[in-house]
Amino acid sequence: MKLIQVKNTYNVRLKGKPTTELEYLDESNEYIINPERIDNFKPKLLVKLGDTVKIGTPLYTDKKQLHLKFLSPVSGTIKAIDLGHRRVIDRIIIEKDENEEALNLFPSYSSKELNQLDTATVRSHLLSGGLWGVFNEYPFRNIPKSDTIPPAIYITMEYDEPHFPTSTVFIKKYKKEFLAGLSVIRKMSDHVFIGSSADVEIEDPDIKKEITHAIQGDYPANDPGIFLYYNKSASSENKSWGIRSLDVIRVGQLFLNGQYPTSRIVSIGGPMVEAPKHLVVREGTPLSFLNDRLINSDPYRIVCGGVLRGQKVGINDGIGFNDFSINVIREGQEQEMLSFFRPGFDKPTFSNTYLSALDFESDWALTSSINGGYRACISCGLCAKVCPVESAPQMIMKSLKENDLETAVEYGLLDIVESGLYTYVCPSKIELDRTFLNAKKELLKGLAE
Amino acid sequence: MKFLKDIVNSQEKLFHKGGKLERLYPLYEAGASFLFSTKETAQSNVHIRDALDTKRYMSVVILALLPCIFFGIYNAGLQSHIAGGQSLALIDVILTGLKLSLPIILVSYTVGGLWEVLFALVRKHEINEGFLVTGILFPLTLPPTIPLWQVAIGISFGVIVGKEVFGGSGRNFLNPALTARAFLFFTYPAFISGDSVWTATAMWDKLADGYSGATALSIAAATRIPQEVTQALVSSGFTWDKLFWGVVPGSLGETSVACVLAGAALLLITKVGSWRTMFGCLAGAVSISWLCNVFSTSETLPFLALPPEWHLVMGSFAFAAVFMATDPVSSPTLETSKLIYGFLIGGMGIIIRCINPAYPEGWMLSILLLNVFAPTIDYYVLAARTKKRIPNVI
Repeated sequence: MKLIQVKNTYNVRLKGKPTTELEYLDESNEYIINPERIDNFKPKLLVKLGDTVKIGTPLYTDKKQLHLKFLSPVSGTIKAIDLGHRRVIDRIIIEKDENEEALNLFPSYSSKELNQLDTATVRSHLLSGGLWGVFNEYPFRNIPKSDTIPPAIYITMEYDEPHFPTSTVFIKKYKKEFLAGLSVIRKMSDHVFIGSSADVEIEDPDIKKEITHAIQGDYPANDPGIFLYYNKSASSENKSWGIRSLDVIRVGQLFLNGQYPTSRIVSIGGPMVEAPKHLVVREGTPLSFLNDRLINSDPYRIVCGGVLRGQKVGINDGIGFNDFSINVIREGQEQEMLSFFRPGFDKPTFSNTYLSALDFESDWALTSSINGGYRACISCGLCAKVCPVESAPQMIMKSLKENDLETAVEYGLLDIVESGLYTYVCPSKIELDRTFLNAKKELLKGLAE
Repeated sequence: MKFLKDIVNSQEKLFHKGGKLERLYPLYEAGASFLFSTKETAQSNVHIRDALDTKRYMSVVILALLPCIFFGIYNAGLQSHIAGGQSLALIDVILTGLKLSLPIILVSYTVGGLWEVLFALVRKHEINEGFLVTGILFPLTLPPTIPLWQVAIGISFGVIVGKEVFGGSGRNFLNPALTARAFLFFTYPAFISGDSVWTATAMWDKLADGYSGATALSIAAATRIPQEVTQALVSSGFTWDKLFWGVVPGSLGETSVACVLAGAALLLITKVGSWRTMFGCLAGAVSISWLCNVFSTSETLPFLALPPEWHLVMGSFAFAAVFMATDPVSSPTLETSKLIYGFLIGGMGIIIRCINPAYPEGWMLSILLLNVFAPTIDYYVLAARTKKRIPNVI
């Protein structure tokens, strides 16, 4: 096992860390799908109002990538399709049947049979099984085309963004599925690397022997993109794919059952959540279950994904295709007098400018406040201190503001995984991560044309 | 508090787009955000933000400057009373010091602030807090006798030419406070040059309103025999201790190395000031002055024989290295570049100080020169780093 030491990482100590307790959430009558929440994606509906669907019936695809199909996690009737601004498909609401039926997408395989599968079968099963979308193709982190062959696949065990499930919670329960998923993914590429956090001890010997790299560092060290950056030896590997442990488990479930996997582990956490823990839920579960799990009635923000790069969703949305973590933070709109002039024992900061820096223990109840005003870049260099890919984010940002994509790419734009930390630490509150993402989107669009 | 908050918030719509006072929005933003923290929330996928903002950032610099400011006020009064043969009681000295220095600081803040606001209104952007630092750094580099009209002209030049014509805060490649000082230095050399210093006296109704005396720098430069340069300093009253504590005539904020070190400690602990720049300056100054020592003979300039530890406490080296060179905007942005930049400032400053007879003090010139080279240093350091990367291009 090789050790990778990731530089310039940071642990945001957000309050409300989920305990290892696992709760099975009750089934709901209705399930909600939000197709628009997938990045770089223009959904096209494959069902209409009143249709009956089974578990595994395709619900929507992408207008330009018809190979991608997203399947129904529930068997029932399409009760409503909510269109938003500019006819964006906000929600598909499915009413669940009493007796659910699941489509058999392909014959199920035993763990042993999986080893005999060939690449073409694996790929076609993943496409028809609705899980092609679990892969990210670097450097743009888009869902790969159906005919691309990955130079390598990078798998990471841990999610270090606050607050995601830790592998200690799920790996024992889903050991068989995880190993099955791994053998499936091994069919996709000759080079599969599996990285686990150096801080997490993996007890199970069967899983431990699969790990190829130990990754040392805080967030975002365990991002597959960072793993790729530290492990690559030639630029041909830049277009590798990344996938994370919980998605590997889903792939395993799909192949072991031949049916679309519906249930998953999701962590709920954040300063506003009462009793943060892990839940076993079905994809599409309405988030309204959070209503009686909040500590008070302050204005709140639900973030699906981590607080540094997740999506803001409403209480009327559902747990989406990519969601393994739900965090609730307070909308920080209250105003404090002469805030910047206080000692700041309660003001968490990456720098040492508030006395909170003396506290190495506490978790902080961070809010959505931007804690300052939008200003010009003062070249303080804080963003470079949270740049694990050893680049100069401030200089890339400035090149991009001048529309100089070429220089930005030369400086390492495409190595950057937009961890959200750049924007988090910036005292001028510049949206560095969004600038990088937009530039990459533009590049990807240019490549497609 | 709630009452005040309601007033501030109720006025907000006047300043927003379509409001009657839309054009004055930067002024409203500056006032409101000074009084109360923002109610704006994150709208991108980064949902939380660090507590540090530019206001706090600049406040830390001001906090670090406080020892220098307080000591500067005291010392201005003290030197004036010593020269005028007046009472050396603490209160009297401080009152005189305030009388001498407060007008300079106020003029700097008011005139510079007006330009800053004017440009923000015309350019329709928020008022940047960087000026709070520029506005105090500039007066600290001036002698207490400087005429107020010169302060006004200087800071105007600094803000307009040093910063705003290049696009405002964040785009200025020169340190605005030093640009302001350089303007006065070259336009009215009789008032600040470094070889003689004006000490204010209280004899305003008499013939002279000040007298000028030699500085440690000019004594060191004027000594004939290299081996005796330290003795010459001591016999003129400039002992090492005195220079370190700063009870010598000089510009308002620069004299006390002890106070500068206190400020440096705060800047380093909070990581607001770059240790690389400061260390670079120190290393540059020490190694070049040591090199000068090695090459000094009875034939060379006597200043070359001055040991490094004297160089560090004389003139404005400490103040320049800690507060001027570390200005993040005008220094290079990469960490390696900061070391190079600091080293070159330190070396260049000593060379100007020792060898160039026209300019007894070198820090302002060497920092401004290296400001100009900062982007170039960054460019080459980044190019070297990019070469090491595995290319990730399309």
